[in-house]
Amino acid sequence: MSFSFPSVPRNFRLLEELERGEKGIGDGTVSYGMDDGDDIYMRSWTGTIIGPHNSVHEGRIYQLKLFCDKDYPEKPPSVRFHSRVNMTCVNHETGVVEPKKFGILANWQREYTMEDILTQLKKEMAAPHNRKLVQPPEGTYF
Amino acid sequence: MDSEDDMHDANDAESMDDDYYSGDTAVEYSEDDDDGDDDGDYEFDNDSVDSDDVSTSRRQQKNYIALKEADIRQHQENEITTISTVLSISRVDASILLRHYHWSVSNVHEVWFADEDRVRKAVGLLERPVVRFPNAKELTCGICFESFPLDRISSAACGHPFCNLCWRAYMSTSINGGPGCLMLRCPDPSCGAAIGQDMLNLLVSEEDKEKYARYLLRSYIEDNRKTKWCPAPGCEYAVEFVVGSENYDVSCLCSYGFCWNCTEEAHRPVDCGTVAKWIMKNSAESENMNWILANSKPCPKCKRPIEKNQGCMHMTCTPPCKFEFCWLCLGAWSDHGERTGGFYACNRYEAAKQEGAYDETERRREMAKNSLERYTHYYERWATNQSSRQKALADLHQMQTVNLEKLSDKQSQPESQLKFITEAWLQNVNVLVAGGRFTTITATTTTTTTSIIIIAIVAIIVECRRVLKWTYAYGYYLPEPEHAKRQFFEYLQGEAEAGLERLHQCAEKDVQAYLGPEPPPTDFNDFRTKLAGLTSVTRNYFENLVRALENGLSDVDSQGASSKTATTKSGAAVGKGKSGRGKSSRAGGPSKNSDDHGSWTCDQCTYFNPRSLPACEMCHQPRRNA
Amino acid sequence: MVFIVRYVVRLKPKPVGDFLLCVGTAPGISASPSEENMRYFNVMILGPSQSPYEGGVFKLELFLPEEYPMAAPKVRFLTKIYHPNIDKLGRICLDILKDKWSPALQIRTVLLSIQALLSAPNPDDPLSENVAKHWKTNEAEAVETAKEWTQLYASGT
Repeated sequence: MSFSFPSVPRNFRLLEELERGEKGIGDGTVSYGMDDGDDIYMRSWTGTIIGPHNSVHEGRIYQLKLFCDKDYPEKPPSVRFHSRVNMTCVNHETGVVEPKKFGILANWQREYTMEDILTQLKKEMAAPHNRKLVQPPEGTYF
Repeated sequence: MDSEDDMHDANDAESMDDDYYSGDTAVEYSEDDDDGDDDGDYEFDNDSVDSDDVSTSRRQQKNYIALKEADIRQHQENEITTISTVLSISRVDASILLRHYHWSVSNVHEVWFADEDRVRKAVGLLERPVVRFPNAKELTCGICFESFPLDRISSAACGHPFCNLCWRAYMSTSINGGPGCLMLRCPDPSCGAAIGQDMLNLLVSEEDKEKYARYLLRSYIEDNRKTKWCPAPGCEYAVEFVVGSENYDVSCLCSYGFCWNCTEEAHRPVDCGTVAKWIMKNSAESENMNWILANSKPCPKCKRPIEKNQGCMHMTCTPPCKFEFCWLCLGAWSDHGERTGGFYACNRYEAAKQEGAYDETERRREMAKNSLERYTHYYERWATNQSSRQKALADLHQMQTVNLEKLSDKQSQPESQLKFITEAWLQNVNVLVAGGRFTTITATTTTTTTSIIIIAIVAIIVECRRVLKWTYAYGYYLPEPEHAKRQFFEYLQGEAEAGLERLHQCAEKDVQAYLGPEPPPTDFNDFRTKLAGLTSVTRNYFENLVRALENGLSDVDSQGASSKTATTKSGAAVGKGKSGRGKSSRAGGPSKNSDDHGSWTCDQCTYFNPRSLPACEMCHQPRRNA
Repeated sequence: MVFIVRYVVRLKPKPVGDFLLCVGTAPGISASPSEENMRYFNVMILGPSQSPYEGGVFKLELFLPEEYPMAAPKVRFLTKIYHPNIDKLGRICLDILKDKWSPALQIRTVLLSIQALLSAPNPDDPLSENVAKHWKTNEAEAVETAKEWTQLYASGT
């Protein structure tokens, strides 16, 4: 009889992500933390991406909001830019990252994390179709 | 036999002398060493009824030993044997005990004989089980709560039963968690029984056994007050040091010389604190910050830092900003002109300076710039000597491999013998130079050893470069107001540097003529005499320099300000005449003029031997009567 | 009344059995596994008498990670609680949940230790700086706050 190991439940999974975020990730060009430290269900998160080299985004700081609902991580969080940005996968009106246009959200797997989303978004900024897009002024928000 | 050993070791415990166990080869700890302990360390001295001077200098030379992995194992095994024998406990228990007390045999002795019960408790060495199941056929594992026949249950000395699978998982988790596995205890939360390597080896995988053994070996070096790994990249040797020795410079078998105290590269005569400060300074961003502060200002419009690279005060910021401004007053250039007294004399700056409006920032900028120039001066010289040293070191390695072969062909000496002599030489050069004691190279030797002499000279050059390099760090931190000291220091440093340059030139370039395929030219002996002379001169300069720095340039204090102008002439003489003799406390120890004292130079390898030795310390060639 | 769940979760490399043995026998503590995830438990701890948490019913969640029992279970409070060793997210600072974990400990002992922590807060090893400071500077007032919070958040059904 084979037995697959029960997966880490939502809350403990988010606690793991929180601890990882608190320690700091890699070179620090992406980071995230809880938006509301009092929310025991850890739903609202803030992410930050520092724009990658060799792109119009270089050195710019982008803030994002991530929302992990009850069904996270079975379902992806909803992700939207708070800082204004011009990217093909981002809705120009609302700043929402449109899952259909962004692979990691479209093909979500429960192993993926918020860190993966932010890292992928940073890569996306340096992709040929986004690298040279004219950007709104820094410091403006959706 | 047993009782004798007990006596012997109990005595050691009393004397609490760490040094006894260090500084010599492993053989010493073994049981067959039951002759007198007093001179066991220095067998050579046994039959020498000679002056203290000789044995002192020998002790200085032997204040550390480099250890290969096999040596480390041997030392560890021997100490375990000692403890196991003396305390009548198993080898595994002895190993646990030693690890707990940082591999200090004397420490273990002390605490054990003071309060054995307390030690047993703290370390987890139980004498009898805390739980017993005399008639059980099956036992329940305390981790998974399943029942197992006795052959699938194991326990540490405490008797708490766990199944072998749970043990294996428990041990494996711990081993893969790092060196903490060396302190593994029984899983029962109320029990502190130690888990030893023997039990572990019965239960875990080969891979985990290997890892555990690695940690145990590493622990012997890392948890031990007397030993450290050689910090050279990729080097796997360790160095055992006689704690309390004055001279911290040690040289690993890989030939890397380092300071045992701070594990930076060897830096005598400069102290560890200065070296740490200097290294920190070199790496610190603070210098960059100072540089930016001194050479750049933020563009008054876009705030990006603008670097000024000499020239006029009319600055234009880089595109897209392109703002034109005055470097002095940071005002728009358009404001400048006849109104401001002309383009190149911004009187607004002058005026403002007079009023004091710019004082604070400008003064800081000016100071930063001065301090930067000063730092650059010392850093350049430090770094140049460093690279010269690297070059000489590379030459040395090349000479050792290539030239030795050549020479042995040429001079029909077996290569192995030449190599042996060279290595013996080199091992001692570090100590000799760093200790402020140089070997005399005389011109009276036979031709067979020429190349060895050159190699030894290059080795000396390498060491001199090292000393010189660090004196620049010393100079940087020497307080500016101490004029007399500074002057004296710079004089000594200058003499040493000049001597070294001449020697380096001679040994690096001039020597080429004599290493070619042709037979040595006729003036070969002249060359050797010259080389010997230069070496001797340089040696004197460096001796003076090292000695002066090690006593904090105190000669200046004693001489007072009156000698300030005289130093130029008398500097060398001061070192030679005054400090050279009377002081015997330093590593140099007996620096009495050795020739008067009956010391002798080896005919074969030119090593300078103390009088007492009947054979050369380096190459074991018997002494010939002069 | 004796609540025994004989759990047979087959795991590599060995079975973990009976880890819920006796959970129900400890007064004021209950734990029941969730239906979807056999390693995830809903836990209830009653505030110990003569503590500021007396009368409170505290909900916790507990998860046995893959490495269990070689690694400690993960536990946190879901009910808000004012305690120097428990933070706003309900995370608990308790040695046996960290470096003092032993595979011979059971869920029962862990929950008992948490209950004991409610009786004996340790402000010298705080997880919640502010609460710990409050505890050290004015214990009476801190205890009052703890009681209020118990009233406010832990008195429901």
